[in-house]
Amino acid sequence: MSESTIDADAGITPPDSASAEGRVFTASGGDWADIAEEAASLGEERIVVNMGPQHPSTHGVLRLILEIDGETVTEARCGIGYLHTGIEKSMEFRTWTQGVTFCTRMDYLTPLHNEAAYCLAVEKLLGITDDVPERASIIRVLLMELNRLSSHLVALATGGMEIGALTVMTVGFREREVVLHLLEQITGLRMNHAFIRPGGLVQDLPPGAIDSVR
Amino acid sequence: MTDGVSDPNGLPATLSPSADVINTRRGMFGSHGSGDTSGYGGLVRSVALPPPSGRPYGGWFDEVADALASALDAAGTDPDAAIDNVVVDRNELSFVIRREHLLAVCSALRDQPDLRFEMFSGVSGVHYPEDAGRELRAVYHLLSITHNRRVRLEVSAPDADPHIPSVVGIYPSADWHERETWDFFGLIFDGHPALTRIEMPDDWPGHPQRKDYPLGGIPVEYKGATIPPPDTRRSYS
Repeated sequence: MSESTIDADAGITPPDSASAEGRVFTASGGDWADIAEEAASLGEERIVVNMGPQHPSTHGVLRLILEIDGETVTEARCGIGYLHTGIEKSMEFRTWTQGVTFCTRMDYLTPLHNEAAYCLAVEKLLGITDDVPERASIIRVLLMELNRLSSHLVALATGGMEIGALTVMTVGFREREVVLHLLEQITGLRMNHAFIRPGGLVQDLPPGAIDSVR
Repeated sequence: MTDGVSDPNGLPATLSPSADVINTRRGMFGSHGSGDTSGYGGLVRSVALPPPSGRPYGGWFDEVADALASALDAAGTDPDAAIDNVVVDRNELSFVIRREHLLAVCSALRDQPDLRFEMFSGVSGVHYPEDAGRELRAVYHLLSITHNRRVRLEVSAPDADPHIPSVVGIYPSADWHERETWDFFGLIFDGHPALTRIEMPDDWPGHPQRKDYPLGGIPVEYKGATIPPPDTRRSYS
């Protein structure tokens, strides 16, 4: 059916399968092709559709192989590997401090939480949890709270967008900018901060940061 | 809190002589010889597993260990045969389980009223290529919502026979986690409903999170084309 299992294009009828079954939707990759073949041979109202990873609602990170009977999805198979970048393998070849650079990229909405979780684990492994300065811990919490706000604003904004309320989206993203400006002032970057490190932080708050947060 | 532990973080004060040293590493980043410009060439590190802990384990750990032992007894499993040892490290409780008794232990942990570890948080793989006979480990993280407790189970399998029973029958949420651990480490979970790759492409050869799998040097196939790894495209030496 398909000579390459890497081919992610779907919905195109292969020339050799134009037969009495009607149109065959090709879901390539492993046994997914077999499912399509089976569905077609049954000659029912049932079709198998590939949804994503290029579908707008999956924004490139999820692929669903849907078995559809009329309007009803009767089976869904998920391809979730699109976000796997081998961070763990890369970190085997880096120092603990360099690992933060990867952790901050694990989630583009809450990078600081990922940095903090990683650093807390490293500190626990090294047995230096009690040596982290109190000020560093407080600044970590402050950064995470700011980051939580920006993340939740995106959740609300995109939630509105999904139901067609585009004003909710623009308002949410507008308010998120306020937080991102604060994070930029404190860490130097809007995302990919790598600001929390095992043992504390990269540096103290810059002058005027507290006033800006207030 | 436990024998030989005085540190508030639950760490042993020094590397205990009973620690299980499985490997000694030199340098870092896998580089050897004069090409090592990392500055870590002289580094020597011992890879040691924390030693088994003696009683009392401290806190609720003894309670859980006793409840698990009596539950296994009631189910007809010898606790000493099932539980290889108990490790308390960094104030966390781990049970090292022999793989043939994993399902009995999981059932007891889930169903016993004093235990009630209802939530399966995941199974991780670990690869210790130098630890002959138990190269591959599966580490299970369980959470009791009833009692707000966490335990860790560790099961090992030799590389030559990488089979561990699947816990999907007991914890259905283990399904995707076991697929991932198979995908990355090659651990075969016997009894899993569909042990297929989950993160890597279906036709990917090898298990990329094993320690002997290289960081780079793997050609990438995409849409029928093969892209050679960067280090074979051009010579830098």
